[in-house]
Amino acid sequence: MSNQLYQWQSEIQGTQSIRDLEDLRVTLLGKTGEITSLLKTLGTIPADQRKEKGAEINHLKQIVADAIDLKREQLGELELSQRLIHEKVDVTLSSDPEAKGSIHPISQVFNEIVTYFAHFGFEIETGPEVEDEDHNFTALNMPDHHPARQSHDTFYFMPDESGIKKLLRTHTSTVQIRTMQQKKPPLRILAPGRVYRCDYDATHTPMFHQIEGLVIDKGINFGHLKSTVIEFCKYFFEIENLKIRFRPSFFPFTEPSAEMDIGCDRSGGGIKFGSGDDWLEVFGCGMVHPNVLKNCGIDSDEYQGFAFGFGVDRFAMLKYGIPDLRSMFESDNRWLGHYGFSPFGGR
Amino acid sequence: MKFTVSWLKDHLDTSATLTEICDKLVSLGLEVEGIIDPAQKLNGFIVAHVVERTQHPNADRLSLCQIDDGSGTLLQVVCGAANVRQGLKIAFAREGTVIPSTGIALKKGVIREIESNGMICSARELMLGDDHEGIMELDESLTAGTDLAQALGMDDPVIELSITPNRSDCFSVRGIARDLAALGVGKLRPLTYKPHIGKFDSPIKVVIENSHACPEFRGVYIRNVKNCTAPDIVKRRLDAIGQRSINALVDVTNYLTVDLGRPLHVFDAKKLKGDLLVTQAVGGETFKALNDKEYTLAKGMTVIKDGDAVISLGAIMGGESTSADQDTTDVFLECALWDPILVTHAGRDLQILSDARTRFERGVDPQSVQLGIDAGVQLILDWCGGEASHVTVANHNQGKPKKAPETRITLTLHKLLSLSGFDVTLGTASDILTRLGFTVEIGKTELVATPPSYRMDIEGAADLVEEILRIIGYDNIPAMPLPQIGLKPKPPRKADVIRYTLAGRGLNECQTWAFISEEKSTWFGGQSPALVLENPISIEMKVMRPSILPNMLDAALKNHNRDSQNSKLFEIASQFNAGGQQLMATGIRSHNTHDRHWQSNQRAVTVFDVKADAQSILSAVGLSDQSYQVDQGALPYYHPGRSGTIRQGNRMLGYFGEIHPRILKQFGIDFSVVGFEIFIDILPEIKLKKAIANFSNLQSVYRDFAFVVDRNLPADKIVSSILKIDKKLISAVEIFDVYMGDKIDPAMKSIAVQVRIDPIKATLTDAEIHDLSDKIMSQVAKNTGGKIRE
Repeated sequence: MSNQLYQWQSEIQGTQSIRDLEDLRVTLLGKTGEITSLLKTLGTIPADQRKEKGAEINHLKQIVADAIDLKREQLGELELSQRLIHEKVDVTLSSDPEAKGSIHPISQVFNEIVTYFAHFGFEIETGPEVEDEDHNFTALNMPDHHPARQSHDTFYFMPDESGIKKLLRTHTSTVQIRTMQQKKPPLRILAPGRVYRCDYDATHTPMFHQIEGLVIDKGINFGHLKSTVIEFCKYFFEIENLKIRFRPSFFPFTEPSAEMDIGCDRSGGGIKFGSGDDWLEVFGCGMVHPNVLKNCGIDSDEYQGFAFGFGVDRFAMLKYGIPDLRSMFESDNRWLGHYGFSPFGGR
Repeated sequence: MKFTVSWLKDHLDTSATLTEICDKLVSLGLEVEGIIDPAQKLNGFIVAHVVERTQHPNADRLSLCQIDDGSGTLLQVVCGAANVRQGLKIAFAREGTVIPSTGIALKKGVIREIESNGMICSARELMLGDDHEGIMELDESLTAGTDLAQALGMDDPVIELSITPNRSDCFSVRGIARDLAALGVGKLRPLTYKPHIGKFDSPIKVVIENSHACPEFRGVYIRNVKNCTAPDIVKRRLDAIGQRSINALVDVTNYLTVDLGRPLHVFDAKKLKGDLLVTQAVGGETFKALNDKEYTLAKGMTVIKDGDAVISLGAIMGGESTSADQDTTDVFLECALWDPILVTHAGRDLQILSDARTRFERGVDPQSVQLGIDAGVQLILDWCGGEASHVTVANHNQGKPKKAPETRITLTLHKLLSLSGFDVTLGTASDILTRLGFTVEIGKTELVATPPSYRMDIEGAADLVEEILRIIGYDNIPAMPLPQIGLKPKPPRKADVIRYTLAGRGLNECQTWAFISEEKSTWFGGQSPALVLENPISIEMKVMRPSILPNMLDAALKNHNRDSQNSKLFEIASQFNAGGQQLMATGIRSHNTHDRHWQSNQRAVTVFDVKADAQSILSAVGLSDQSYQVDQGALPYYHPGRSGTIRQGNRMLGYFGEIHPRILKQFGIDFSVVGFEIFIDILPEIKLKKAIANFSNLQSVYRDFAFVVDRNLPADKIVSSILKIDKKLISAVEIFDVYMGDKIDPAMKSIAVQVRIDPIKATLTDAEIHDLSDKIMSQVAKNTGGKIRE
């Protein structure tokens, strides 16, 4: 018997596949298998030996069955590891193409500005780009002959039947007027948008972007104006020790009027903030002129406030090191990918 | 506005340095645009004296000089110039001086074995001119050792200011000095012009027809003058500020225009035909101005005539025919006031820029007329001699103009404090205003100020506050945080959500010009004449665009020409038509969906790519697919069979589709482009979510159906029919197969859909599902004639 067992065990060990092993199992343990046949012979054995012989054959059967199970497991492992080797791919190949879209730097900067001022309760207002003389000039305390009008390089449209010419707004200050005519103080608004001036060279584009801020309330003063624009610039340019200078200026719609410069260093060719002895003009601002409040039906004895405005395109160039203004408007795929922002934040 | 420092010091007694002056100007609101200091490049050069000149022992063409540089020790210098000679005063560089033309510091040299301790300079080496024939020969009276810049009168830096339109008073050196004195930068020197007393009656009289245009006109006749050149210092100053010195008589007027901000004019009196008349042009007259250009005048422009001819444009420019020249012997000096608004209009219409116009349109001090006469006569007599008449004051034909009432402005302490946010007393305020030339009456709670005649910009209390703050210094006013106010949560703005949605879908955001060519505008339905610019930058930027698509097509083509394909572009901006402007989200996709890839096959962009873009926008603002309809076809610039219109009832939400082949051809585009346009204004505002309905955890049931329908039936009709059967239970219907082919009737197509059923309260029984399936089949059959495919 033990010779027989040895024979069977070596047959089991010798199988190369699960299928061969299964065939062997049928040959040995199947209904007509050799070991099954042995058990069937028990009936022919004398009764007194039958019990002992039966136990012996069953033991044998158990050993063989275990050996087959063990072998099956080994063969399974082997086949799996062969399959895994076979299934290997080159994961350094590129994944499916997925276009990366981008946010234009001007929109990015608008968003940064609006997000900052939202913390202080500023709400967004907008107005039309095709405007009339009244909203663009007259209501802003710039009557027809005002010399400041000439500096605006205004785009005019062909006159209508009655000879009246519409124009493209030259600043977002028009939105101040439209808002104050419709809403009552207290007001904290931001007016982002496109503005137009008839000027086209390396540092001027006929269309550009501005943002205007306006605060009207009781007791709003020049100190509030200073703090608002200074803190914003520190935040925006991320420079705590930004050097800042305020100087008197002139805008027909503010009085007192000011311009804010930030200290910079131009010695390296570009512009660096936070050091240097040079100045860069960044903001126009001032206390809203009483005539403007009056033009909008607001009592300047009760309410007063400030307004500020600046060019967003230039802020985008300064913050993100974009060297050429005109490139912003050229829709070059590569430029958009290079200077654009991920819609999910970051670059 | 340009002036030199020495000129400023004629009016201002100060020891302040150039830097201090400039800093103070900035803090006064007089922005320094530039400083030119000609002395800088002559730093280190001095005047020296050639004490002795002998022949260089080793070279025929070289001289050996003993130079006195003022130090007391003579220096031996070798010089190659032919004009060097004993006794000459020369421009000299000692060892170590940087030569401007080379930028190199001078070293001790040995020339033909003889030591040379410095250099005698030519004008070219100092970049003072082109003359290199010989060394500069300086004035004999100069002292050796003197700074060369000083000796040449080049130690006078030029300051250029940008003057804001309100500060007409600072278009004069006098005005600038006055502002600096008010800030405490020195003391204002009094003017020294004496009141003019004439010796005879002017033979020329003046009559004013329109007192509004010319409220005042004074003149003086000066005879027997000798026109010559103005004094050197005046010529140097005019030269330094970029004005050509012409002759003494003309220079008087140009000089005083800058010095006092008081434009004057001299007529050659012998060229005048009789008395002068200030009147209005009838229109059509031609006039040759001093700038040698001829102008045709419009009706109503203010002019001065003698007899019949126009001889001057008054405030703007004098005429060629009566100008003073070298042979002039008698002059008529004009000093007048002109109406700023009329000057502005005439100057703008004629496009003449002049120093006089600049000042008159901003406003010239109404009390400066007699001062102008006094100063003008004195300078003419000083420089050109002659004899002056009494002042002739013009007669007003229509009566004298009314005197403007004196401006009295009340400033309450309350207003002062509340505008400035800074603790300033009425006493300080009054002191500052007084220093600025205001007349101030001070009370307990307010002050009343009358501005000086030259401050025509001061109109109200806010102007006074600016004056006070600007002298205190804006930088000295404390910043104060804005009071915090209560905040409310705000939903995101539609345009922002759309922007981030489209960028998230792989499109690049652009910013493009809002104006396009007239031709392109018509291709996109533009026809409003009201949107054509009168003064465009170019014909390519002439009309406000009726659609953003032309800009996008231009961009795609430009990228294509630069070998960058597969453009995916969008812009969120306005388009314009007769109804006004509409905020749009417009985009295009060109060429293929993506670059070649090893496993993902390239395919051309199709209408469904942009349909997905358009629908993503609607979904982003909260519109479900069921809340709008999609119709076949869009605007004429889209492919009629491959485009769609999205609408809610009769409100158009947008369009999408292939761009019409004809349009592509017009642009010269030979690749696929699909586009979309969504009207952002019409979309609903985004709402903040409040409480959200409960989520059902019951398992979804899916059932598939295939319907055979007419080939032309819009597939959407099957989907919407099924969705309407039970809006609560049926949560989605997806088309997963469209079949047209030989297995079915060629006039028909088969549409296979998967219906998702979401039980609400309890799992559905087989009977309930069966019932719903029956309803689906019968409803589709009823609405579309569709039968279940066998």
